[in-house]
Amino acid sequence: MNKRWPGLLLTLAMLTGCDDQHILERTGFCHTISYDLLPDHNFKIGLSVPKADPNSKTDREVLQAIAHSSKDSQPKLVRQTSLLLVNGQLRNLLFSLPLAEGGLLDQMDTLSRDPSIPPKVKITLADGDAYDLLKKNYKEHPRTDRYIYTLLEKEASYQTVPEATLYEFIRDYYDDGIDPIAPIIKDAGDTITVSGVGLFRGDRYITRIKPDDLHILALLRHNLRHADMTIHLASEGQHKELITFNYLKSDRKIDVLRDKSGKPVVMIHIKAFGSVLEYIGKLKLHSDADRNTLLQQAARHLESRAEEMIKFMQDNKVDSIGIGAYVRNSMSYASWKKLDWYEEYAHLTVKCKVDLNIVNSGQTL
Amino acid sequence: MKEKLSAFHATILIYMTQVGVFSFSLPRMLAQHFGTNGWLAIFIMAAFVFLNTAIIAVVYRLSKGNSVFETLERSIPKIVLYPIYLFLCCFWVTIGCLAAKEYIFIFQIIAFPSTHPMIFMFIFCVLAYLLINQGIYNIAKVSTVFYIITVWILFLFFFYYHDFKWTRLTPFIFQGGSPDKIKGFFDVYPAFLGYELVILLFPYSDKKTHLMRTAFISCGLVTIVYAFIAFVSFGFFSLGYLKVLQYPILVLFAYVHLPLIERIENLLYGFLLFTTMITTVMNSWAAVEVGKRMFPKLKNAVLSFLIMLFGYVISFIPEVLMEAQRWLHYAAYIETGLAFGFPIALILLLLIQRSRGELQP
Amino acid sequence: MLKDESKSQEAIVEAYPENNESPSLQHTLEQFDNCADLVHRTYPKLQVDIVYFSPMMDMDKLTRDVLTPLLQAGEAEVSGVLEQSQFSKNEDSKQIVKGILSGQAAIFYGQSAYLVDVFGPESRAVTQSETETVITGPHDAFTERAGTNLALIRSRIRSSHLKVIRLSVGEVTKTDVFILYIEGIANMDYVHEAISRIKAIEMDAVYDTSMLIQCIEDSPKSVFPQFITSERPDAIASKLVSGRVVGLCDGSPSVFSAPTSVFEFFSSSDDYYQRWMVGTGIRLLRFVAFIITVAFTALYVSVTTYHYEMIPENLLIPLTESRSRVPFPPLYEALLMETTIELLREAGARLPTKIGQTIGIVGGIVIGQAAVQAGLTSNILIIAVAISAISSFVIPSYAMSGSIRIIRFGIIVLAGIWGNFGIAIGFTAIIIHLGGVLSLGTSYLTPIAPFKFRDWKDTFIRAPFFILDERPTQTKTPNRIRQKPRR
Repeated sequence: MNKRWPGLLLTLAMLTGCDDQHILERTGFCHTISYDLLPDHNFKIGLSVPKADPNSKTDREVLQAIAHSSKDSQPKLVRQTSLLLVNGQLRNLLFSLPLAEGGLLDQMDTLSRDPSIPPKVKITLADGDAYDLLKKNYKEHPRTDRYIYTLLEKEASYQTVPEATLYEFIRDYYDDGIDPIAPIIKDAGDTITVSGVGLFRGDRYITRIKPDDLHILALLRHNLRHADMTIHLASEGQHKELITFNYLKSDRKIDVLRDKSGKPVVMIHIKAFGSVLEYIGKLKLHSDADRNTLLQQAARHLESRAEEMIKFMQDNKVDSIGIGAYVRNSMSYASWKKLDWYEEYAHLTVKCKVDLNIVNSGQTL
Repeated sequence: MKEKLSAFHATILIYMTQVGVFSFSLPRMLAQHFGTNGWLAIFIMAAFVFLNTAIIAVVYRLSKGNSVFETLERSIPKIVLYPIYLFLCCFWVTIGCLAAKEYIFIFQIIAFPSTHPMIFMFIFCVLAYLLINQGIYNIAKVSTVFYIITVWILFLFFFYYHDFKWTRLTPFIFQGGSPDKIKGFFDVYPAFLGYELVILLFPYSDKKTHLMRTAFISCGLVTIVYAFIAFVSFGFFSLGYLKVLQYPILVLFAYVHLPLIERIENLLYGFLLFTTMITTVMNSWAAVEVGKRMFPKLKNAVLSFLIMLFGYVISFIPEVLMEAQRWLHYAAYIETGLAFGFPIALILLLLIQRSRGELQP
Repeated sequence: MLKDESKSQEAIVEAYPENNESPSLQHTLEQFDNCADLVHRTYPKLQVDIVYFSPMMDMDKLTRDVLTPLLQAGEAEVSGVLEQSQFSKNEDSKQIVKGILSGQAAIFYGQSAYLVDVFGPESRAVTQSETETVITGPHDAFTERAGTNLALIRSRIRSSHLKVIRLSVGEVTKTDVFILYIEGIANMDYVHEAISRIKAIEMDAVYDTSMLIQCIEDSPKSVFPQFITSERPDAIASKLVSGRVVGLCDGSPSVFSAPTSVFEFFSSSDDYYQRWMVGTGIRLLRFVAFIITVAFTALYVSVTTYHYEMIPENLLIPLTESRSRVPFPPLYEALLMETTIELLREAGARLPTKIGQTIGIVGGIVIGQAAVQAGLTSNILIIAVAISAISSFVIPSYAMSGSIRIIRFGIIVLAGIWGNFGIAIGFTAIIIHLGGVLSLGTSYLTPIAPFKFRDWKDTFIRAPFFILDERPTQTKTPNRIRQKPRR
């Protein structure tokens, strides 16, 4: 290299300010932001910033400000801390339900505009006050923000609670054939627990699926890769019958057919494979006939619950499993545009067909 | 010029000239203008690119690989040519520097928002100057290395396999875009520009280069790469999301999540400096080639210095990203016209010369 | 082939009254006025005078070959003895002076003068190479004596096509330089180019091959060495056979070969002695090491200063914690540690081997540990710096590894100024520079540019030998095929 250029570079370096520096130890990395709607339509914005100072007693800083928008809160939050607050390591966004009911689009727009915010940041709904949830410290779990994040991350990896990231939320919002969803968490005394999945129509929160039904939603919404699922075939007093599938792989297919009058009929085929490691009941797993009966029972059970759930979604006019995309793809563009999809959706015939298979049933017969 | 370009180098050189800042916003522009399955429009545009390349091939055939400037100077007096030369010289360096400026503006969205862009621009111009000074053969060599360093980025697109959904592509073709498809065509077409500079490479190639064949190959390569990128974007984002994303490619990169490094768009965008660098360098090199015709006595180093200086000064004008984009768009319209018009004019000129018997058989 | 020595000597050293008359004892002794190590033996009875530099003599040889036969022969038979072929008669007094200077003994008998080669000063035995050690394969290395070195090469290439051209370099030192090539394999253009470049050197002294090559390189201003040097005869023999030109310099244990590409510096003869998969793996590892050396510390600086987004969540807190006590910005922190490790390396190289190792361990561990505890650096930086230092030693060529370490500092500074953009700028600058570098007129970036995919099998990987059937294209050899296809 020519000897002059390094000198030139150094001169230029003097010209370049240090404004753009984010030196680690002087920076506060927002981990989780909570949004609450106040009665006066202002926002209460909470911020959880992990602290890496070995001398400090706490391992995080929780800040709070009341502002008109999320960016408006920034100066108020910055005033409370010695660190430079940045969003590049943001992991989780916590919205309170009342806020979500009013629509999240404004927040989402701001968030996706900021190039430092990762598209993989999680969208989570909070039962009750989001800030209080974030602020509370749980004895057995250091750093509530990280606790929530790892909880959701683990759930997402087992696919019981669907993952909702900023990218997915906005993508589903803009896609006309599907509606976004987001998990709901709540404070359960000593722990935090997932209390359901919120269903959106557009950017507005409409209703929720209860935790017990989450695996049905998961089956309907995507292909599972290694989920666990327990199916209660019967539970009346003493008499219990249940079957648990482990490492369940499922394949979902949606077909749109036309009935005689030309109305679309949606068929959802779910084919699932799993190993059964728990079965409580009278049938024998090693007998072919028994196994078939059992699988039929379980499949019918799943089908009825799935159809129930779809009915529930239709009643609420939320298309959380993306039927719209398939209906759309089955018709011409012009007729899709003319269609009032949510009206059509509410009266759509949707049928479910579940095909369960046992890969193995463990070590014993 | 001692050495002639080899076929491989010429292909990569043209390819690297074509791929530049336009590709960052390409999927969005396709979505905006062409709507559903807009990535198919790439192939329509490719047809025009090939047509244009074929026109240049005719020039190559007719002029027997001689420099186009010699062809011009044979029949047109220098007085008439001078303003044309001056325009071409200034225009090409402007395009090169505007592309660089836009690259820097986009970079500043991600990092260094408060540093003055002209400082980056200065370094960029210095590097470009150093490269131009080394001559076309070395530019080709360097672009090959740049190509090898950047080409693996394409493999990252397989990372989106899990989030890619065919249903999102929809079966509709070109629905829901803007009604003015002609404008859309001209807005997206500049993504391919760069191949027209092949007209200046005539004197640096010989029979073994198969110059026109390499131009076709590199256009084909660009078509495939663009179609692939756009295709992945359409299946990864939904159409509606794609329409509102400024630079979808950056969001795609940001989504990549490796165990040791996250948010690799910070790193990858730096790598894309290489492709932009070649775009700028080739355009400025074209300007220098024209400049040499005007001032044959000036030393090459001085000439390229003056031209880069001019480019640097010009790039002061757009002060914000939108302006740079708008300027670059206008310049690209002219360049598109030039890409078609210049070779057609040359063909006419060559035919006249041939009918007059001025060309040696 | 030889230059006109006396003329240039006059230019630098003070002029001696010289004449081209027939050599006389008187005249020769005048030339070596004030040379205490000059021995002048006279045998008046025989009318014989012997003049030589005693430190350069092999005394056994002198006694056996010269003194004994002369003394045994009578007065009458002296001329008969001197007719023997080891005594070369010389008419030119300049040749006599030169002969004595290069370690021959001059014998004056009557009016005529003879030179006899009884050169044999003490020299180092053939030992293992200190700088280029291999695990398998031959262990002998070149010594400081060109004759020994030639013998090492000749004994490996027993072909009459191996040609040796003797040149002389250094106006004062008159160092012997030998250019070797294999006729029919080497491209003569490169041989002539190398010879003419060496002839064009006008310098008072050349002590070592690495010094010589800096005088004949295409781009002397570049950071990169453009000719590869090696101390290993097997490596040099393989370069010769692949059609390269090789140069020896008397007094230097390293031998250069050209033309060279930058990738050649990453291959070692070890690669060929291992199984091909192992060889390929090791070679790829070296390229990885190159990237780590150049970019790892720079990436640390860039990430901790500007691009905090890139740190994975699990690493963020430990990294921040380790940075939290450090009083300087990452750039200074990194430069401090990089300088420290360079100091350690240099100290280790200057000290005797045993102390050097101690310095390495004590310095490395103690300073590293203490620096972290004192809060001068973060421990993650120590890891980064150590890994990049180790990586730099993986590169077999010491010259190249030095160049890369220098570049690393530049990249670190750039990373400290402009983060990842700075790193990209740095790489761009290096590649643009490399694009302009030539080695003996050929591209330094072969086989990437000019693109020769056929060469990749012996550049980036080390393919099995039955695939390596062609010589590298960079040498432009007239004889490309090196092995017949296996049946």
